[in-house]
Amino acid sequence: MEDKQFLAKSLAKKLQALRKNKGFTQKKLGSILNVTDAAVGMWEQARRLPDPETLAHLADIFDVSVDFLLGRIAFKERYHPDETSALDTGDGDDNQEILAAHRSDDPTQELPEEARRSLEEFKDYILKKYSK
Amino acid sequence: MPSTLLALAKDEGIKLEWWSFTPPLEAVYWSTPNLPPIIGLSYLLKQSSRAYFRCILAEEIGHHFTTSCNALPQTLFHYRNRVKVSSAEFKALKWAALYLLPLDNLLHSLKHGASKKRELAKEFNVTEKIVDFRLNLLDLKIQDKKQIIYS
Repeated sequence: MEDKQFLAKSLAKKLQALRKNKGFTQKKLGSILNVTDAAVGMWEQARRLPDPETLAHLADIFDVSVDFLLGRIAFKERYHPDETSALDTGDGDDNQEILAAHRSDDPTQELPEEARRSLEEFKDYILKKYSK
Repeated sequence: MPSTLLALAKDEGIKLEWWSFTPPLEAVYWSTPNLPPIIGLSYLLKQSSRAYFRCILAEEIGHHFTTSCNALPQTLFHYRNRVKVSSAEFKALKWAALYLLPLDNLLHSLKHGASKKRELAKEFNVTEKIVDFRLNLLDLKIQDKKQIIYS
């Protein structure tokens, strides 16, 4: 069985990528889940793990399985056939969105670590500036 | 600042943002649902030549026109001295080269005696690298290219 640290780290990475690709700020995601943005921040820094209910809720929001969020499987498909996500934004592109976020040929992998980080910071800034 | 390119970006609703990217990252095109398309430009580009800046900006705008669909999140970027060019980058580069060096103008210059890449680059205010790329696109006939390539 994976230890807690491993699960927290896997979740942190996945959550951040999924959230940004959906164009959500930490605050926005927090408000959907009824938690503070600080809590979301803790998860994304791998310092805390959400409780099981919240985890299931997260899986619904991003239309992925909980196992995927925790890094136990590499593919994003959900186990259960119920396709109606509780918080579907209605644009119908959610599936493709996640696919693009987790392509193995992610072009940002070519960049040096520092440059990649500056790109992530830029995205955070843009999300804060332009998200409604 | 290249005003036609900037006006084009504005017309397309693209937001331009300057950012202190860590080299070699110089520019990024980011399109994601719920946000306007964004082009991020490194502050360092302010110190580069106008020709270089024009090429980078045109390539990023090229991403806007050549990526398939805005509903998909896209992060496409330019960095100095890249070796591999992905198919998405090739499309954007092609768009930029055709935009900055339109066929008619290029043929006109070739006909009127431009015989070196350097001269073309200067005339169109672009880098020699993009002239090189442009000359290899298929809308130019061999005889058009000959005077450049073999001179």
